[in-house]
Amino acid sequence: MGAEDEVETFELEEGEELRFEVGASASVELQVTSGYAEVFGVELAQNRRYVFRNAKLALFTWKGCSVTLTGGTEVSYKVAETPMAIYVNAHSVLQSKRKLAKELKMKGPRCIVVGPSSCGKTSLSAILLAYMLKENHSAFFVEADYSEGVLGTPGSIGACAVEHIDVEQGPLFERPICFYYGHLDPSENTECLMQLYSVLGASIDALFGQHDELERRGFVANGPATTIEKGFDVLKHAITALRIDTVLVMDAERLYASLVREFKTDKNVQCVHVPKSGGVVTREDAFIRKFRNDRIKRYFYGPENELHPFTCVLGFDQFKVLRVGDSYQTPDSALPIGVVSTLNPLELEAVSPSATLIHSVLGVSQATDEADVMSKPVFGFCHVTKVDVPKRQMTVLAPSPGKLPGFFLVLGGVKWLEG
Amino acid sequence: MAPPDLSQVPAWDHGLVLEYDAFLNTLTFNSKDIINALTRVAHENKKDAPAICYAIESSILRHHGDRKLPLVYLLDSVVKNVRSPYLDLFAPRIGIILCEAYKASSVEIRVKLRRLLGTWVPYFGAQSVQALQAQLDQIDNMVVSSGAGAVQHMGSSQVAILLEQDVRRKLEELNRYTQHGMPIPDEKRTSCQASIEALINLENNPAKKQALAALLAQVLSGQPQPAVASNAPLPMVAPGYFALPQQMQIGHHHPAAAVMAAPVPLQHQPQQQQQAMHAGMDGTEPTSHKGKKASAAAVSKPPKQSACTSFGALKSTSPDGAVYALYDKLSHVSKPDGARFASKEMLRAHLDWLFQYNKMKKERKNSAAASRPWFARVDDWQLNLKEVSMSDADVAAIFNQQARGTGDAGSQQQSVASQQLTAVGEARNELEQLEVGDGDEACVVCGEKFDTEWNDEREAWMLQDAVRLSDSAELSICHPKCLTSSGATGSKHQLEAAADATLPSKRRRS
Repeated sequence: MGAEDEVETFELEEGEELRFEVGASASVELQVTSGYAEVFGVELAQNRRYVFRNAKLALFTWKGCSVTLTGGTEVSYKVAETPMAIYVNAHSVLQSKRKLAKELKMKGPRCIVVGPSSCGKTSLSAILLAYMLKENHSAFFVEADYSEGVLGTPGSIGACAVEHIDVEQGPLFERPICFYYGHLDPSENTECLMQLYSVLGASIDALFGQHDELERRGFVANGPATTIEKGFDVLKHAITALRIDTVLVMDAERLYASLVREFKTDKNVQCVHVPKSGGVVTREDAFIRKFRNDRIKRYFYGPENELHPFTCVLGFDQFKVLRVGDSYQTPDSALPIGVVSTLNPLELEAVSPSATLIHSVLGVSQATDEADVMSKPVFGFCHVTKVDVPKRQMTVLAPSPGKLPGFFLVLGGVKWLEG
Repeated sequence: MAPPDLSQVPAWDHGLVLEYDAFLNTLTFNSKDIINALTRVAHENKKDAPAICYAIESSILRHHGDRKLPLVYLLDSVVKNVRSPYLDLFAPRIGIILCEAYKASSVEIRVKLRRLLGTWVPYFGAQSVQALQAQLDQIDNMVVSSGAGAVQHMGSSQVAILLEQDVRRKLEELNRYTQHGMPIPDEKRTSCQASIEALINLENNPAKKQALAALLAQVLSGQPQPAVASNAPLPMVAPGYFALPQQMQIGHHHPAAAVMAAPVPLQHQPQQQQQAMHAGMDGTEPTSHKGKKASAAAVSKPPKQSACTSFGALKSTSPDGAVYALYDKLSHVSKPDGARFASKEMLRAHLDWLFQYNKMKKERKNSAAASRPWFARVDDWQLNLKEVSMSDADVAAIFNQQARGTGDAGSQQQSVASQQLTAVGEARNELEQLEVGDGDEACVVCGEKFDTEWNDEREAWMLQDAVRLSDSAELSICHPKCLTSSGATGSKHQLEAAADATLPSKRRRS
């Protein structure tokens, strides 16, 4: 236990950052003994013990502070060069736009953070969200990154009002709206993804139409990982569908240039280039896979394992599994020249329950009519654990007890192996 | 478009100028609505008139061609509709501004501006308007030539403005170096020197010449100039920065000091400034002094600093203004979690929430029945921004209400939120207090025993946090939380049905 009780003390001057990593099985206690510090834009209380597990964190101070870390960190180091000044200024510009919108009764700033994968998008959108909340007492977050799906499970996009942020657990997304794409790759079914962005945009507009203060404040969106080669069209569509006016492009200058050119004629969209932080850790595939698995686990079991999902046995007549588009769609290049695939990528295909469904994560659609499946959000997700064809029964893990609230279950490619 | 030059504005007005300037940036075409809205803002913020006035003026001077006209219309609208104090603030410099706009305009717009000028007699006086008309005639007669030639045609006062702006920009740059404790590169110093010298040559007023010479000496020696304080109410710039002598500024607090105006009596000698410098150095520490240890008591209360308002200036603007808005401005700190608020009421509301939240977290850890609810229906989501926060009593009330109703299976599909809304009002009175029976009562949903508490009034042990499921004879009670988590609706029958079909997962990981 000797190493675990190790206490490290750091003195940070204003504008400095302390980065540290906590291993999967370890936990580290963080305490600010004097001064003021923040983690992803959320200010920490003085002399309170914050416990972090399995995390890569950056503690930043605008005013200088002393902190202690108790327990074994894998890495911990101090840096003086950070792009935080630029990030806080970006917030400040958004904030001035919010004031302006309020004064002139106009649409507030809708901002999206985009860039290639592992460039710190999620961190920057978390910082902007935290600052937005701090100055406005309420913030609005849009998860446009289907591979992350922070509101539900990976493979979903959505939106949620945020009123509180728990430093250890992240923003409290208490009442989200969530759409299920079911894949982690935009090329899996581009049309379907675009359609979902359109419905998400329409849902947000409908909500904002009812609540003036939301409309004036706008939102912060976490964009999907994008390069010019991959996902660019989807991103373009998302920007238009969500009626975004500020695109913060992280790091990728080529992507920035292409977006600037793309929206040159559209005066409503402003692209801004921001540098990435040196603290961004390039995550290996294995880490990303584990991270996604943890996300799904978190949906069912909660961030601290405090939730209790329920096992539910469904008769085959109590649900209908649907897949969007044909999963065996032939690429255009494989078809004879001049022949275009006649399959509609938005067409719904019924999937008869079989053992192949096991481990799949299904979205429980709010649609009461099959035709509405593509335009309705989900109630949540369930995880197939067993399919008994002879008995005509399927066993799923559901977040809440009782029957599933919806009849139509949307199948994608996302699988989860518990354990 | 570059943000307005703030070096001549008192620090405490920076935020206001930038804010109003951001408003002005929406005025890209001649829109009556926007002009009316902006006029209203000016009307509501009369106390900040100098800053607003400065923002409008600098915006007219900075913007090109088409943008100038709507801004002049705005000025006109503010003067005519709000009048005091704007009329007096604009009056000294209206000549320069109109001429500048006039020069940059096409013939059609010139006609409009002339028409506008005709309506100004009741505001600025017949004499001024006549003088202005003469000036406009002069401009009309000016042979338009290109490039450097155009500068020659401008009156010397305009040249002075340009030069002064140039000097100001360069000083700003030097200030940035000293602010960060870096040495000033020689070429920057030389170019600044050249501009100041040109300005000295152009200047007729000996007092100003002297002040400029002193500034030049400071720039050359690399010795930062302190607050130009002496008899000004407050320093115009934070200590430690170079600054133009005050009487040179197009300062709105000294309208008469504008370039166009007559020479003003000397306000302070350079020597006095020198003294002020020493006072400044010994006394007030620069607020952003690097290396100063922050402590609990060290939250400084600097004057409101300019926050960044343009994405173009992300890298060049100091974050101080933004940080001030996020920290010092929100002075009510929630000790348990570090959240900050602008007012006591907000802090209190937050603390109430925090108490509930921590309680909920603790309960969740100890209970075996907490689960994630299904997401709200999209229609409910759009109507109610957040879940009506429900106390346990409210939940009980909803439950009772439902239990008394029909056990119709379809009601499970019914929207929860709408029922919550109707039920919340009458909720609290309905919570039935349950006495401890055989002491073995457990929640029918999660199977856990209830906590008990002594009730003095009833002189009995009471079950805490418990609700009766129905009026049925047999006692079935449960935690209100278990009800919400179990799909939030449903009568007893449904619950039983659910209990049959679903078993709490045994596979919960440690």
